[in-house]
Amino acid sequence: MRFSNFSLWRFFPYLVLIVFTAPLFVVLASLFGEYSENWAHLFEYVLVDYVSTTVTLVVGVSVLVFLIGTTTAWIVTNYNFLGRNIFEWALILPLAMPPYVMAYTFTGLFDPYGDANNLVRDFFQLSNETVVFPNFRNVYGAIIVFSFTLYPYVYLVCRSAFLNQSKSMKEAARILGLSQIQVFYSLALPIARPAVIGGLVLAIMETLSDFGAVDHFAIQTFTTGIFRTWYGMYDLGTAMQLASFLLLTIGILFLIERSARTRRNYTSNNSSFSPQSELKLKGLNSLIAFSVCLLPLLIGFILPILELVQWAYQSNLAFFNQKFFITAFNTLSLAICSGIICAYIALLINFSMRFAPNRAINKLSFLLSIGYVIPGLILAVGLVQLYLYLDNSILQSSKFFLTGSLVGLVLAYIIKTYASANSSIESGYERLSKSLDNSARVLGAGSWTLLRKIHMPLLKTSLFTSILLVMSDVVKELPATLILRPFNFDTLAVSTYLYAAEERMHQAAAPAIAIVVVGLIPIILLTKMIRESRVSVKNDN
Amino acid sequence: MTTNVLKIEQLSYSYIGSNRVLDNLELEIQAGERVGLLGPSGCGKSTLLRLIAGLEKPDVGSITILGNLVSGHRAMVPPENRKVGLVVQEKALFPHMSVKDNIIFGIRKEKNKNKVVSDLLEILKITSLSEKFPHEISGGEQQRVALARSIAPAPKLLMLDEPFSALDQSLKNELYSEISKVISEKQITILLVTHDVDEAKILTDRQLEIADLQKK
Repeated sequence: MRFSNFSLWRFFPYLVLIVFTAPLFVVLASLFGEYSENWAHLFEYVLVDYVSTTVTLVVGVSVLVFLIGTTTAWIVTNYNFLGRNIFEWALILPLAMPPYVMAYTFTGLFDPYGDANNLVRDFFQLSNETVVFPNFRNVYGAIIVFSFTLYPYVYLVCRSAFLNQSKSMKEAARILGLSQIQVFYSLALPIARPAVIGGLVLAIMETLSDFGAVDHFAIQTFTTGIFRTWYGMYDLGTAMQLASFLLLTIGILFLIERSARTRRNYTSNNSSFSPQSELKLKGLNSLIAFSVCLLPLLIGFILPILELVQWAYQSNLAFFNQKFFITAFNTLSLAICSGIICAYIALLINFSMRFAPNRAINKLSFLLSIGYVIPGLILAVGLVQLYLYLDNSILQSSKFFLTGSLVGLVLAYIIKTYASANSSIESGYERLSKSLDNSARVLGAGSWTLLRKIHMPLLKTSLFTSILLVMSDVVKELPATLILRPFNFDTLAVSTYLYAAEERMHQAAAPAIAIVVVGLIPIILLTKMIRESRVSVKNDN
Repeated sequence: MTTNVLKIEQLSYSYIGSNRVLDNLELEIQAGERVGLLGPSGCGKSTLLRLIAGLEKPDVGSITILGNLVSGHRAMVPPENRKVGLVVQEKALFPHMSVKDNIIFGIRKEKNKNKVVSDLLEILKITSLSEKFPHEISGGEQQRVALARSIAPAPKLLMLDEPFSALDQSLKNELYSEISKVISEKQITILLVTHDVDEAKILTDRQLEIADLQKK
């Protein structure tokens, strides 16, 4: 029995790995197919642009997300200043704002005849030709849109990591001659490195897999290239081959990142922990801290919301009818279901890898998270082909069980959002000393007891964060939902897309607000946990 | 007739990518014995305890507890089934459980668990701490709780891995007398790992150098 338990834990990650990577292999198999003449056109005219713009975008977003996420997390965990208690939870609000919705609102605000320019022209009585704000329909605008909607990924994990860092360690560094800022960049940040990298990777993956925002800004990225090859040239094979090259590049980046990450051990000794103390800021310092925290919130949440509310008001709130409530219910049900399943899969996999360590699965585990980087449509195409095969060949059902079903859609969400779920659980496990496992096992705890009595209570914050991160992603997910949803089954994202595709932006505003509002539910729960975490972190350690 | 609680034969172990830390080690401990294992840092004392507990797997050799082969050729009994206790320097108390729940953890399925816990709390003079959490008590108190938690399941062999090295001398002296009392009352077989010769002499009847246990 014990042997079979051990084998079960060893076998489980492989089973999940097979399910998660099967659609990728369908896509990658296209590399061994025929190469159409469209490749010559791509090489000659657009491929260099796709690659260089994508690299610029990723580098720009990484730098900004790192700066915003780590700085705000450090400020709210180490200083007490005007509005700190509000900023502590409010800084994650942009997580509810999909980049494509922010892109719509920013063009509405800052285009030459957008609301912001009109407002300034009217106020200062300037001529109609005067353009005050810079053009956002370029790669730099996209960098801003992605950075200010995705920085909470780094903020959340950094805040948690900074809160778990011992006060005495920082005091020792101060006594050894380091200033507050030096403690931040030479001690706190390197110690929080796994968390920072985890958050950054999530932000980068989100950037690479987005289509809505870059398409709206008409930027030539790798992702838009894949879509244009598919829909413009009607060449699915070449689009899948392009997607395959993107996947291989990302796979190499992942290998480099994981190899760097495993060189250092960050497990802390619980007995030496002593919780944070805060420095009270006054006057100018308090104002600076306030402004630094307000800026990302203003750009990433308040301004887009104001623009959406104005649009919704102009459309007389007509969207808020019965259809809207059904759509919202559909979206929320899918999000909760996917969130719980995905978080528990991540928990079981991380537990398996800790309880029954296996070199092979450790090396392959990055593939479990790769669903996040696949553009939703490409994942959906891989899954559709796979579902059709399973429905026809193996299940041999007269009705489709997976194709066009909620089961198939939830599976797609799980594959797509596993990285979100895993980042939180993995980070939680990194903080959990292995001596606890050893003690529990010597005291007679088997695998399930260890998981239920020790790991799950200690990881409840990570588990809950994990569910909420997945829910937030599912509410915003668009392309895979469009392809895989059951007939006549709409989500809020699908409704927004359909309006926006018809250039009915004012009508699209109402479902877009609903996406943000539904996305806010997990965020509000998360904020409650954030407020309580200053107390619970003492218990956790 | 004496009974072998622990028998180790030709035990060797090396960490991945490094030299052998234990080489051809032999050790026997009889029931009720108190054995102190001495040696400098890095000589493999703690590793030996981890091997006995089943937290590491030996390269070669065998470990037998009360006549049952627990580590050896094609045999590896998991830690939860070895009936040994282990107290380590960092205590490793479960931070989300109260003192009482920590002590109950190893005997949670037993009917008389509350009686066992209250007895141990009394013997170790920590009854007033039973509802407190580990972060609410001192280092010395935490070490008492860790000891009570390991003793509660009545292990056949209790292993102590430098449990007092982080404590000051007066606290150590206080704990030495209390622990000696508990060990005598419960008739527990002890394997203490320490680099402190005096500590070994106070708490154990037989002191061994780990280097002397390894046959060249």
